[in-house]
Amino acid sequence: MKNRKFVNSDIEPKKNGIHHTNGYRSSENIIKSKLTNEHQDNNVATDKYKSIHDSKESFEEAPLITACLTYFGFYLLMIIGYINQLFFEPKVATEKNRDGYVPLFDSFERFYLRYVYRRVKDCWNRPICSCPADTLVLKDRITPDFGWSFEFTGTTTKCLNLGSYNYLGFAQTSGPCAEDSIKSIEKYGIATCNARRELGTNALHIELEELTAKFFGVEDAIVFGMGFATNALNLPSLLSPGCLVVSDEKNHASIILGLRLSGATIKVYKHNNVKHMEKVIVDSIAYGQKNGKPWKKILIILEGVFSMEGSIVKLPQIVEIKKKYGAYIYLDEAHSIGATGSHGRGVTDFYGVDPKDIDILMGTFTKSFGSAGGYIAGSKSLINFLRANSHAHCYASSMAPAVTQQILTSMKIIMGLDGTNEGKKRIDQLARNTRYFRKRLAQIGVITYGHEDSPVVPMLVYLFSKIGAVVRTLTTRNIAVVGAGFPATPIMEGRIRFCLSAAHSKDQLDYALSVIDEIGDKLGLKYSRKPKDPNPIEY
Amino acid sequence: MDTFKKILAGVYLQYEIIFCMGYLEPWERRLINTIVFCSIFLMIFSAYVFLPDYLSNLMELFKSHDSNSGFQPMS
Repeated sequence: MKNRKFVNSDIEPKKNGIHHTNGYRSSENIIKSKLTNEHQDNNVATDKYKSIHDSKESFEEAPLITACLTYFGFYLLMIIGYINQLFFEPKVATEKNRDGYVPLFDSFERFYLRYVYRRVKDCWNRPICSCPADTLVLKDRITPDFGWSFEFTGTTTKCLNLGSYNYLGFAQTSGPCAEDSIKSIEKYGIATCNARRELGTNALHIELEELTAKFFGVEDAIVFGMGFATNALNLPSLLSPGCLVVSDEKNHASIILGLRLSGATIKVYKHNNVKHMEKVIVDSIAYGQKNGKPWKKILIILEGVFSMEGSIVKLPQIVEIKKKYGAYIYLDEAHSIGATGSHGRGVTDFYGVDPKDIDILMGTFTKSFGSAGGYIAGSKSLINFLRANSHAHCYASSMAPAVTQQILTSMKIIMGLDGTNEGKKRIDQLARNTRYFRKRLAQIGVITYGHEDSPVVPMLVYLFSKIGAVVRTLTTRNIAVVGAGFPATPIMEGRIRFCLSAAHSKDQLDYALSVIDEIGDKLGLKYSRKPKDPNPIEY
Repeated sequence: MDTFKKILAGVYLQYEIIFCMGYLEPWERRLINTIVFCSIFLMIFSAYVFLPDYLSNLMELFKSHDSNSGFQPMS
């Protein structure tokens, strides 16, 4: 029964409770929906979502020995780092003649960057010299002094690109998007050289805001030139001290920065755990603010697809909680817009939730649209409030015309307004690539996190040294991937993050999978103890 | 012989991964290797030197229990 639960995604209304056996972490009970059938229709509907989507999401736990080795390796690097720091002058900025002053470089972060991260620096910050489409060209470099400095060799390597957030494959050097962008440069120039509130608004911005609102089926939208700033600078204008924010623990740094700037009280709930979130909200409402007053407002803040975990937010249940307690929802769709849902409209489309139930829809144009910038969509009054109060709207330079045009054209393609079914084809291609790649990885026997429809596929390698080993080995085999380790993830959970794209073909994925299979044997990445599907996976 | 070599290479690779050899500078690698091999050598050496004595002592302890020099039931 347990095995079947993971192999197929059918509903098994038999067992109750949370299992922790065999290292699996299956969650939530399904029988509940049967028992509480007398509840309203609404409740049954969300329980159905719950059972379907929980069985598609998996977070397998690591073997104990791997956990021990991970910590051992990490502490070893730390000890070696401290020895290094004790006996050698760092080859970068040192402090001299500063007796009596507080040291400038003394934090743990600084130590970590210099003596732990520096050793694997060649796996990050890698310069590319081509369009990040299905393949990209890496600029080769060598480090003569173990990561302190790099030199270019002058050669390049063409790699299969499994690292860019080019979900719908709109990062192209030719095609309608590129042509339209070039035309817009001829008309409007490169930049607007001013903020939106002054002389920085042109016809493209107005058109884009209207189209974005139409795309989501909401009243209005506002666009910004930078995705990170959309979160970091708009949250402070929406929140103030005395507000309560209930935030997912895996939320992106931009959200956390925005929340800290706002001065609101932040309470964190366990990742994607609706029960814990409800408990946090109920407790907070019961106790109120520190001075005993009730909260000004309660905002639930979450992401559509979590970029590090590859999980999809349980939106229908959260909407229900929101309605029950009178809270607001701020949904960050940076990774889900375009990449999830049958029309590419993000998680609301994916679950069939009414977008008007989400108070603030935020997202970026950086990923699926192959451009740059961010948007906030919602009710007319919200957007008007932001137009008056948002720092990013008032002070930041407005979106460049070519960038705006790229979004306009790609969004029209996704919506099918260009008269072809190109957009639909891309969305379907991405969905097929995602399912195929995830199923094949499961068959190979590596541990992947997240929902089976999420195009972000984190492959767990655990050991800090394996992140570097995998990235380096894959680069020699002409595959470019991104590794993620502490502090972006917990120490225990070093991972390689594959991002799939509609631009990838089956042959390219097969090549990548065969290489992963091979190095999985060699380096020992096949941690999974789940039963493997013996049948070949259909594309 | 070839398979033996392969197994040895696999073991060495795992050793390299566990001790993060890919990340270390040569002198650090030497330091770690020295510490690891010294401790292994010391363990084997001490086992070789002391274990036979310990074992024979232990055996004698058990033997003495069997004869009636050790525990004696109160009568």
